[in-house]
Amino acid sequence: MSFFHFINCFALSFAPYFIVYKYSGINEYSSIWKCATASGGYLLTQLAKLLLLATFFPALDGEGFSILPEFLKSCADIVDVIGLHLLMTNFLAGKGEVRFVVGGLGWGFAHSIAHRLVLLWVGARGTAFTWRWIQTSLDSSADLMVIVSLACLTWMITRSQNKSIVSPVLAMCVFSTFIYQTVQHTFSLNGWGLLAFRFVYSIATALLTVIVYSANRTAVSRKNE
Amino acid sequence: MQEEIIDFFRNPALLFYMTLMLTVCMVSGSQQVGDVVETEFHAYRLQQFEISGNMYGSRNHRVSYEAVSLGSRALRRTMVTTWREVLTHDVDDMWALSTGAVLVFIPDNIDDLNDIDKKAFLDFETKLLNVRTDLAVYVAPYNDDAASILNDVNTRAEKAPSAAQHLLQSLSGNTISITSSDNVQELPDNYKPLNVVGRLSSGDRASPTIAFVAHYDTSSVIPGVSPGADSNGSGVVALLELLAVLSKFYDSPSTRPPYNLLFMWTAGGKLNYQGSRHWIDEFQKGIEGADFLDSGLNRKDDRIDLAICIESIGRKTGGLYMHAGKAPGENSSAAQLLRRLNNIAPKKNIELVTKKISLTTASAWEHEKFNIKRMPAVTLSTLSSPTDPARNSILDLPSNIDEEELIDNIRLIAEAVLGYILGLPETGPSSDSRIKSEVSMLSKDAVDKQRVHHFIRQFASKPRPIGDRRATESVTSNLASAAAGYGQVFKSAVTITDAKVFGVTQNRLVAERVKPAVFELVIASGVIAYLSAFYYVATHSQKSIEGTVSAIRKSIF
Repeated sequence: MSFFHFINCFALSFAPYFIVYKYSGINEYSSIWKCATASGGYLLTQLAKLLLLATFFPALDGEGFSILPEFLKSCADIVDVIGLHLLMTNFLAGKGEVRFVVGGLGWGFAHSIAHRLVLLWVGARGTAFTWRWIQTSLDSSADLMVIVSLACLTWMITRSQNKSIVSPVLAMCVFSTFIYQTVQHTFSLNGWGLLAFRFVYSIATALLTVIVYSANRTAVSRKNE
Repeated sequence: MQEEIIDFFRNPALLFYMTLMLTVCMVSGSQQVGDVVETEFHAYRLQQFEISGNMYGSRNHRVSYEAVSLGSRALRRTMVTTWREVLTHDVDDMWALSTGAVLVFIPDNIDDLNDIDKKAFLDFETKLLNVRTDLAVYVAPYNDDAASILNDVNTRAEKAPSAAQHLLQSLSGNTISITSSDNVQELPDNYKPLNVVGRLSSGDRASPTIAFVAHYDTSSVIPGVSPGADSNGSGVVALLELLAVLSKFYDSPSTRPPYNLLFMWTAGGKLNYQGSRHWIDEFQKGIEGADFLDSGLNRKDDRIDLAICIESIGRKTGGLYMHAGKAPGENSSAAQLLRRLNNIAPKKNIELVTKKISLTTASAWEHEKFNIKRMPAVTLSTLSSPTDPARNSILDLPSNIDEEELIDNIRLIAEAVLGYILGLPETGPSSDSRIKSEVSMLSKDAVDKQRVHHFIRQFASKPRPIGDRRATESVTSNLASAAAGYGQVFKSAVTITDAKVFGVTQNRLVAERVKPAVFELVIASGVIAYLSAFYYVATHSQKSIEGTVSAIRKSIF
């Protein structure tokens, strides 16, 4: 619509990351440089993922949507877990909780930039008004929840005794994009409907993560006793 | 060297940029386009030209205004309407507005209109004909997009029932903004359309010249959509066919008639016959002029015996009219031609129409340009009056051309001219009235049906207004190459005097749904509210998550 609209969308997409960093107490435990490292880790992981996709699914970039190829394609998202794990174990320091929140935050910010900045710059400055850019920007908050959960679960999966509760929730995070796509195509959800679904799904994932985390903490403390 | 290259690849920044670019490329490539909020369509502009310092039509071609209905007249708006609305409403005060635009939707297939609608459409054209305005006026064919635009505009024009609703509408209601593309090319100052002249020479130095003249450009209220099939597509086709038919006689020296023939396709006919005027000027002063050869004249003492202008001869109107400035003398070539035409086709109603030539206003027929310079000339047309609306109408479509009639008329003219230049007796081979057999110089198929059909398709079916440089250039080069098959061809650039041509006969318009500027403030306040909520959640997140975790641990595990 105008530059003003772009500013609105920009604030809506990226301010949540800033607010979380600044006001959730993370900045007392870790520097912004660690977040930047996490962002760099995200980019490197994406490169690996791209190479993987280009090698194994070269011709699948056609139109239309079919479940199985899309599922196989989204299996490449498992690389994210590996990348996050390497990042958190090798490049971030401090308490486990600080590591995964910082890692998730940097990761999510880079993800948001890569997915939205160019789109908004090209689209939201146009004259024609559409709610699409607002929706895209709001998605970024939902992604934040999923990615921090992903980081938390990745942290736990190598350190937890009962992996059987961690792994399903981790799968929920990893395949979130695939699930959004499937829901979008099977129920032909669009716009606000899809956005609402994404929020519900992200909040559910986040809550489940909290529960799994609590269970893990209980297990750890019992073991210590 | 090698070290440097390796160093370059070691640089972490390179890796960083590459990954960033790749990620961005993949992400933006995979996004699909959402619901349609903008449409683009072709629109055709109202005529714009200047004759003797008088401006006609629309003086502007830029549009970037919000769309409103015809009823709500305002500055800096695009009035969107249909041709019927323009016809039924009083729009005179609209043309007086100083800035803004008008977009009129016309039927997408004018050919399919019934007779009543065609009459109404002619009235619509007449209503636009004398418009002089500063507004940018466009017409576009009606389609689904047009329907949705009109619908939006008209709903918005209805008054909201209550004040609250009115406020809401002005705050968040959809409006449509219509913008013209800016990269249209206006005509350069040195733009000169071409006259194309074909010549058949007798080979004899002293022989006089007969010129056939037809202007090839088209014009109407909306130049970009009118193919001008009859006026003057039929004339262009007739000249080509006459050239093809008569060139046979010039093939061998033994049959060559003692007359030079010129076939002139002139530019700017609808703009006070610029092409003919230019040619005549060159011809008269050209004795020393360097362009003399370009005008198709070989020798300095060439003499025009008669110029036969042809316009609109492809329609069945029940007659063929010879228009002249004054009644020709008994022995003049024009009078002889008229008698011959009458003798060859006694059943046809061939009449002489005289009209006094006015020197102060624009010429009514092309022959007047020759008459003014004291050269004998007549115009042949199936129209009886120069003010016939069919001459400058969008409805002058190829489907209105009666090919049989056109072929008939071409054959008639060819026979009469042949009889004249070969000096055959006017009344036919025998003056005995008892002899009824038809006598003809031409074989039955001399005027080729297929060829005429092809010429009509090529030269009389597409708009070729003088303001459209590409169309004009393509028609002149096509004409030149078609004529080159039968005779010598010359081209000369026409200087337009006492008139001005304007380009941009068509343009691309983009209609976009937009929200009022105030709405952006509403969104901004929404964004701020959302972010404050987020802030609240973030500041309490640590405490609340820790609380939740311990609560869960106590209660469940």
